[in-house]
Amino acid sequence: MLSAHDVTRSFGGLTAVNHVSLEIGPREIVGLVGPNGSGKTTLLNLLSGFLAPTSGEIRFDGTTVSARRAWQPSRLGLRRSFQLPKLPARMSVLEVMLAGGRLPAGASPWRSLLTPGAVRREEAAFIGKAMGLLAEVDLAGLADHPAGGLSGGQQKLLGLAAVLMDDPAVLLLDEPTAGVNPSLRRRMADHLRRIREGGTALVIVEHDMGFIGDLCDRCLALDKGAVIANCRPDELSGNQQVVEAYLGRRRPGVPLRIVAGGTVGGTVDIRTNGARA
Amino acid sequence: MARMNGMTRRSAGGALLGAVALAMLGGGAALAQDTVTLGAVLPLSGASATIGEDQRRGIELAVEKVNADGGVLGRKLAVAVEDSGGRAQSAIDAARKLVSVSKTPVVIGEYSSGNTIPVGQYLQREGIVHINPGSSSPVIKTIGDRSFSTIGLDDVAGKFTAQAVYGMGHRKAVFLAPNNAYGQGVYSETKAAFEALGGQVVANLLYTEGQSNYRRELQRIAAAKPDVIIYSGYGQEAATINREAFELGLSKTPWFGIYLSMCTADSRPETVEGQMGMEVNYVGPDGAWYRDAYKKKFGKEFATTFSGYTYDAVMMAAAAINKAGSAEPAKIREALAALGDYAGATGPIAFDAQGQRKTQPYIVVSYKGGELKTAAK
Amino acid sequence: MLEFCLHVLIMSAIFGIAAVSLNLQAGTGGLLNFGQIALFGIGAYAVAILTRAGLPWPAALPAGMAAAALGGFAIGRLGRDLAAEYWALATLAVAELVRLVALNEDWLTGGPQGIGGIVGLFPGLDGVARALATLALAALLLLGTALMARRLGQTQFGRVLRLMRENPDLATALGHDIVACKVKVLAIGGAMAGLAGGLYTLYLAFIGPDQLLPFETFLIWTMVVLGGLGNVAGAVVGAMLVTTLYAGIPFLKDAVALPSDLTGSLRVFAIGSIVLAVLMLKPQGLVPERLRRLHAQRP
Repeated sequence: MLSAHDVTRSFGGLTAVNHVSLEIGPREIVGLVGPNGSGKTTLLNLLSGFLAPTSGEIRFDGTTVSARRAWQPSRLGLRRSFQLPKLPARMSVLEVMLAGGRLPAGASPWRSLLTPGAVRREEAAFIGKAMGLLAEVDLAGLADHPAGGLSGGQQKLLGLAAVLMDDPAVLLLDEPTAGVNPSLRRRMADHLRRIREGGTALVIVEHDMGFIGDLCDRCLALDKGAVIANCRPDELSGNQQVVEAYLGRRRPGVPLRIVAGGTVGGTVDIRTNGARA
Repeated sequence: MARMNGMTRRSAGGALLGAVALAMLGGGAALAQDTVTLGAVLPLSGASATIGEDQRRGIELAVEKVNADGGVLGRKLAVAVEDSGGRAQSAIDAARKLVSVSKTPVVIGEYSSGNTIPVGQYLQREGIVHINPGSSSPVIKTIGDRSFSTIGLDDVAGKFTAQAVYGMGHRKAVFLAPNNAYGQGVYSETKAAFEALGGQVVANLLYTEGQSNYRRELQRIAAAKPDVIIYSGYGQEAATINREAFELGLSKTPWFGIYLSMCTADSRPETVEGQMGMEVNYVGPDGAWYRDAYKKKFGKEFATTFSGYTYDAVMMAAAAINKAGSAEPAKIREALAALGDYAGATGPIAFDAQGQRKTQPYIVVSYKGGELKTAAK
Repeated sequence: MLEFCLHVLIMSAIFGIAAVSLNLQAGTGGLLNFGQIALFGIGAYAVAILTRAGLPWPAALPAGMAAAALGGFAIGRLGRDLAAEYWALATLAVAELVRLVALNEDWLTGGPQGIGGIVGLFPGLDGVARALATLALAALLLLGTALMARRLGQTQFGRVLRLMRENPDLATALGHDIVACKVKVLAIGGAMAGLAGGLYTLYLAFIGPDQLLPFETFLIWTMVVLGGLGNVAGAVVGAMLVTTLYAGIPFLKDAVALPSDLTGSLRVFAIGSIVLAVLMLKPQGLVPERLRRLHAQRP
């Protein structure tokens, strides 16, 4: 469905994404993990068409994403969310939802003026759809509330709901749980599962390993712009390279053993024997 | 600012709007019946405010004189002066106020041709007499039969300039002026007259106003190697041009300024030393009284050359009203057209068939030793 | 006095159309158009040139609107890659270019003296009757323009514009071509501004390059900001307020019987104080933008 072929992206002298290839199949939930600066967000921007690669190609559903204008992949069914939603303060929740949908009659100035009936009917249909999606994230009661006035967590949920208005085939999520409290995180995970059941593949950039572990079919780990692992989430902590990427290189000659590990409140807690460089 | 509560803000806003509305209704009350009121639209604020104020002074003096001499039709004379702000739209609004609300039979104004023309055209349509005391664009001739000018238009200025320059022996001239109604008018008239005499204008530099330097124009002038540089410009700009010409060594070529006092008003003396030019005579042979009265009332000599024209405009309008025995616009128009030779403060004024001043007493001046001196001619 | 009041109302209606146009571009779309007077001026000059050539005004007005729409389209396309502030300065430069063309091309535009003696609206009528007919036409056109602007703001078109205003990246991420939106709103705004310009010329029977100076753009901005940026009714209210203020301020000096040497100062002081006072009392404008309550409309 969505694939990257030997994609590289440099910013001047800095190579943020280094010869990355990957494949996302339909209805997969794939996690994208890695320490800060590993190139996760840049890769997400490349996959969604926001950035063009320096070399290589991104393909989605038979077409080359990287050759398209920034707004086109979204129309083709490849959508993304933002880490910091920054929703407008002067638009209501429902208006943001409608903006997420495709309303060709209402979007046309001619038809807005000349065919008011058709425009009204179109809008009513989409309002129905929007209210349904809002209900799924418990925001239906705030439909007329200013979008920018919602709490951070609510804005993230709204962001998730708005991108669904156009029934995307693939959804790229940029740190959906950042700044979100634990109970909301659980609801979000349930919601994402429902989205996958509805037919959408998900790619989730995250730091919260527990969230990834619960949700993802598999994980891609990045370090310094390159993919260093492509495995199940529970296999991550056993992967030497991944651990080193997060914690730093071990001193040569000293074996790094994980003495205890587990999930405490949603984060992976790795205690080692202290053999670190 | 401390937040006012909704009630206070709304009532304060309402009070403000109410004040303006009240002023509009109250202020529009009919003017005293024992006064004949004329109107004037002048640039009392904006870029030409200095000149507008001087024009206003001319009116003030004329009103005093007329009333001291017995008024008009046995009644007092008054002139309602409105501010155009130097803007065409505001000038038109002011003219409309004078015509519709104050019901003046005559409106005097303005200074910039770009404002005088639309005002004049409006007054012509309304049948109100228009007197132009400050603009010199030849287009003013086409306003209509109700429009008169106490100031000579550019064709008169152009002829005089051409004759003076030709008379000095120059045959090859370049022309430098701002690219606006004034500059274009004075250029085309001077060029026509100069070429009719046998001279040649080899280059014309109508510059865009408001530039920070004019080297490009000056270099083109230098390249043309003229006998004389005929120029005109407003104070600050002319100062820049004169300074840069001086720095480029171009001031060695003879310069002839149209309305030289305006051109040199803000220029450093050494940059304009030796320039020749033409100037409206501040006062004509009959202007001595006016000059003294001005000095007495305002404490110094004329601020600009323009106060005399508004003075003459009011005086002539008063004379026409008295001659016609009526304050009806149509009768005033007839009387004004038939006034014949009038001894104005700015010299003898006679209107031609199009209501424009036939002759203008210009003088040739030169800038010597830091001031303008009448050149022996 | 009646004629003067009718004059002020007609000017308010004409500038109301220009203000509604700018409000659509700047208030709804967030576009810093500092060249609005150029679009107005293209309409004004087009109507002047065409009517002088013999075209009747009902045909000249739409032609002027089309020319101005083209102008709006052009500044949208030409500046499509510029960041907001740079585009704003570019529009200012374009407006000056239009004014300089008007100033210099005398064969077409009459040069610095402009074009005068235009036949105008309802030449068969006179005085108050003519003013009333003109006012009726202007008010009707203002109403039509305002209703259109309001409708455009209510549908998806307006929604996308407002999103573009607040968060262009989000708009792009939701699949909207913001360059196309920008160009469309500038073309529509241009047509409206051109209508205002055409009416202006027909009413005053005169247009000159001095009426296209940047100050005039900022006057229209003042109308939109004082009235309420983002609100169509606000734009109309703002236009009425500013027009009435400028035309009516001279009555203040009459009311206090001020000597004429203080006229200029009072005008400048009074206008400045009133504008400042309105801004301080109502920083969001007299009729601020309101959130749309779509949910309440649901069947």
